[in-house]
Amino acid sequence: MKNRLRVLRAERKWSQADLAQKLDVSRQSINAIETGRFDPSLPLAFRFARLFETNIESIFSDDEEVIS
Amino acid sequence: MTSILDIPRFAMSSLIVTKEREHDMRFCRRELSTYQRRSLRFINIMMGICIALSIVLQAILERHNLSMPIRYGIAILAITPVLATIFAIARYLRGEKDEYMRNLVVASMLWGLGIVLTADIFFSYVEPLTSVVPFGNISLDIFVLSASATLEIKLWRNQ
Repeated sequence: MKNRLRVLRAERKWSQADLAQKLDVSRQSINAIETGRFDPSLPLAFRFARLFETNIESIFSDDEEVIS
Repeated sequence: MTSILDIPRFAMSSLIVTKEREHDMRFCRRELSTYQRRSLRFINIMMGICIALSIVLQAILERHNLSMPIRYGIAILAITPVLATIFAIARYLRGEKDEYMRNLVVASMLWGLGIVLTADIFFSYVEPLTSVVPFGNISLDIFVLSASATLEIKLWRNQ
C-alpha cells in the first residue's frame, strides 16, 4: 500500500517523532508505515486522516489503484 | 555579526528536526514507551531465569539419581518461569496500543518457534550419530536467543 504520509508530514514540518507523539504510537511505527513495510489497521488509518484533516483515500492508496 | 535571532525560523526548525532525527537514530531503543520498556525488561528477565534454571536443573538431574516425586517437583519448577513468560507476553500484547510493536513481537516469537522447529527436525536426524548436547535441553535457549535476536534486528532495521 502506498501512502503520502511523508509529504503530509513535511508540509506541516513535523518530524517522525512529532507525528508518533500526536498519534500515541512509536516512531518506528511511523517509519515502518511511511516506508511501506507495515500497513496500518483501519482505526489507525482513521486517526491519520483525522489528524491531517482529510480522508483516508487521500493518504493511503492501493498499489493496484496507483498502477491503474 | 549574525546572531541566533537572525537565522530564519524555518532553518532553525529544520536544524532542530535534523538534530532530533540524529538523536532518535542513535538512541532508537530509548523511544520505547515506559510500558514497552518495562514489559520487555520483565519478559527478558523471565526468559533469563528460564535459561538459568534449565541449566541448573539439568546439571542436578545429570549428577544425582533423584526419586520420581522430586523429578516431578523439578519439572514443575522448570516450567514455572516458562508459564510466567507466556503470561507476561500475553499481558504485554493485550496492553500494547502500538499495533506495529505488537506485530514485531508476534513476528519475533514466530521466528523463534520456527527456528526451534527447524533445529529440532535437524537434530532428530543427527543426534544419535553425534555427541552433541541433547536438543531438548537447549530448545528453550534457542527460542529465547532467536526470538530476541529477531526483535533486535527488526527494531534496528526500522531505525
